[in-house]
Amino acid sequence: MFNALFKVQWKGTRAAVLAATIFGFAIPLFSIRALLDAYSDGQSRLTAGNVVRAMQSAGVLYALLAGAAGLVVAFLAWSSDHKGRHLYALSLPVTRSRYSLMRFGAGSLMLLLPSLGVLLGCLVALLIADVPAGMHAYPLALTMRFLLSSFVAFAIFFAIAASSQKAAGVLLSAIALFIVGSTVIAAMGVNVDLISRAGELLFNAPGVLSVFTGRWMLIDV
Amino acid sequence: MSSLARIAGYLVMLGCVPIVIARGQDSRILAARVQRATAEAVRRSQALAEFQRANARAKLMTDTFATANGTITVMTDRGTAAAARAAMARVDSTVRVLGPRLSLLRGSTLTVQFDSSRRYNSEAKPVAVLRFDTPPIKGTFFTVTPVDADSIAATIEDQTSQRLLQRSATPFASWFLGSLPIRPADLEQEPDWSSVRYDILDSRAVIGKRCYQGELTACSMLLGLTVADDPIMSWYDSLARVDYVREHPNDARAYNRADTDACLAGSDAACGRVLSSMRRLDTPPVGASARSPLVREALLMGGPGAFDRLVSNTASPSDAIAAAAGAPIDSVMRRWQRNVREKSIGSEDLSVKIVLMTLGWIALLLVLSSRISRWR
Repeated sequence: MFNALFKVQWKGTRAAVLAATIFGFAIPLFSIRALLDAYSDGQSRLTAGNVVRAMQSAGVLYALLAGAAGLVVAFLAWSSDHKGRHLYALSLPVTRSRYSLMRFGAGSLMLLLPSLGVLLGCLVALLIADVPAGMHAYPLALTMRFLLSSFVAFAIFFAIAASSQKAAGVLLSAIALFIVGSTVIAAMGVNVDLISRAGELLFNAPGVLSVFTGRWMLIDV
Repeated sequence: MSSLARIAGYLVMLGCVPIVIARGQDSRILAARVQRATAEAVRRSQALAEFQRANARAKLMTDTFATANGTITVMTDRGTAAAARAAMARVDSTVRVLGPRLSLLRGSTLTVQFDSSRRYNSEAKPVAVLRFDTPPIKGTFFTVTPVDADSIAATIEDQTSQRLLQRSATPFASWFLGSLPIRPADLEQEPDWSSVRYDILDSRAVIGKRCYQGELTACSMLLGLTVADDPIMSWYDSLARVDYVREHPNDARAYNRADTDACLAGSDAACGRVLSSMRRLDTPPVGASARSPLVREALLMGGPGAFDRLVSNTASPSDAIAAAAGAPIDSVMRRWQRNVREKSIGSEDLSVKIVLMTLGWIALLLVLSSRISRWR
């Protein structure tokens, strides 16, 4: 049954997954290429600071791609069920939790491809450029971070997509209410920044999105 | 008018000259007296205000005791007395490593006063204001710290070592830009070697890369232990020199227009002259971030008495460090250089903590997804 689910899910998501894989492959190459082009004229020296800054700039792209890949794969995982109003799933002789696990497993396997793209991109990028003396390349650590981030995004959106429309509506309403409430409180002159506080809770360790923040460095000291 | 009357008039005018001169002198003298009196009044008023301030502070102080081998007199008020007394026990044992040179601080006073008007950072802890006077060093050091024994002790320990370096006025004291790691925990704390490595490799100076590759002479120059006759020409290459001028053309032109233009047109000698007139790139390219770890290495190598040998050595900074380590400066630098190359290597992209935390969240979300009973 898992194979059948996987095949159906693959058909629905392969275009997005392949696009994410190509982007994943391109980001490290792009970051290294941009760095080399900027300093290839011999007019300026490539210092550790230049390398670190270039890698940090590309870090945003890895995080965005991981988030986007997780989101797309998660929503596409449930799209066929949503279209069929879950009739096919209900006709299967499995429990809901087992079915969810299989969907999750199939989606997780899809996410391996963009990560593989990132890993290959990193390795190729390191082949075409010499790592400056004293600096070190971390292709595996970067790929693992990408994989974990895409998994987190996938898990969050998978949970949202798995819920009913009513639950998703409640969640979105709660978020909207929170933003409106925070804005009203700020407008009343109360010195409490709820949105920043919520951001800290989400993005600072041990927040659920903390894996997205921090350093995404292919080359570092 | 008759000539007799005219002569009489001239005589009268002539007679007035000394009077005018005398009056002029009188007014200058008077002005000087007024100025002196004003200055004296200001001085007295300031002295009175200072006396009143000191007296008021002294009245508030409820406890007085000595620390750092009796060299520093500590005065505390009611709000800080308990914490300060507890801190002094720690300070006494910590600053002992500085040895007999502590006597240089004799006559120092430290006041620790509770300040009810403010709180420490966002933690809203009660605050103590510390004032450190070390005659003959001019100026009082002020700082605020939470009213707890550890914070007060840490502040006093840091100030004691810094003031001791200031008072000892050795070449090492002038060279050293950081805080001496006098607490045992400071010595145990591994420096951030990746940050030192970054500073060295990010420097424009060619000696940075040469040092990283193992050339100890370059390390010595990089650390400011060896003085170069012409640092701009010996520490930097032509690319670094023209790079700097290219990045600051307006500054450079303000100092030396002709040489700036010649430099930008490709004359390396002109670049050297411009930088020299700008007084840029003439100080060692790496500062405290690299020097403190070197001193730490020396202290670790030197064992007991290392601090005393370090602060009491009046020869060059290299000699002081070698004396502290009980080994040649090259041995200390080699150890430092090896650490720069080999320590703190590892990606900050990923850590066990990040992995475990993320897997925990994924597991939680997976459980949540499987528990959502949409089919019911």
